[in-house]
Amino acid sequence: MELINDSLVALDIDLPSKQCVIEKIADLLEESDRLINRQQYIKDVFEREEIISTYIDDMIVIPHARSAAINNASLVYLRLNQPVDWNATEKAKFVFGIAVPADNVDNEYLKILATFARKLLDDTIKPIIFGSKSKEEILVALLS
Amino acid sequence: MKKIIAVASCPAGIAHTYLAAESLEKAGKKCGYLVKVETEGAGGTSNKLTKEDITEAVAVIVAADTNVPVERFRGKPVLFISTGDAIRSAAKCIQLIEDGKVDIY
Repeated sequence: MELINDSLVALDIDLPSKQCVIEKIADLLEESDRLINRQQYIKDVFEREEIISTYIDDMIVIPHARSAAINNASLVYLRLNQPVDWNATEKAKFVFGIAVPADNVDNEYLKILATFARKLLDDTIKPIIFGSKSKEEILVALLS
Repeated sequence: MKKIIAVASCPAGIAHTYLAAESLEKAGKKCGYLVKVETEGAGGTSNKLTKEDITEAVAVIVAADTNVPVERFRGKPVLFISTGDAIRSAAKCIQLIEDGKVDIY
């Protein structure tokens, strides 16, 4: 199963809150049969946010969990029409949900995710992930 | 080229570790430093720092939200920060090193 595909990308959607954003990520994972336990996944993501917010910069956030609730390493991208409050001081509009199974060590997906994370600081791909209407173009930018 | 070494480590070891590494490498390069970052992620340790790296380095940045082994850096200037600081304020960290404002560990 690939890390990310068309059905794990939702562009220019309306979501009112951080809770709804995480629920939406869970929806997409569930629809692709990537979640074993929805409630557990959501709890794990919020627990990780509690340790330190996953806000990066430029309204980009990367809520994530390495959790037994997940059965396939996955990357979800949600682009919101309106930013939501992510923590006390920061707003999120570009959301990359990362889900990795708990026992997933030394896996090629972890390497892809490491490369992907580094890419989020690359200013050349930002116009594409922020503005492109083409899922295909976004997937290529994220993974190439 | 002057060298800075760093260790990056975050709770899940999936993303912030690598974001921090990228950010430190970029900021260092801009100021003329070679930055070698050891990443301690979910998939294990990559780019491990050697004794030579530690000897050669003018300073060490520990960008970690978890406990990482730091005894090996005794006697070097060591800046302790979070991965978030490394991602958002890497340039400032390099500047602190340049200005000699980092305490010896």
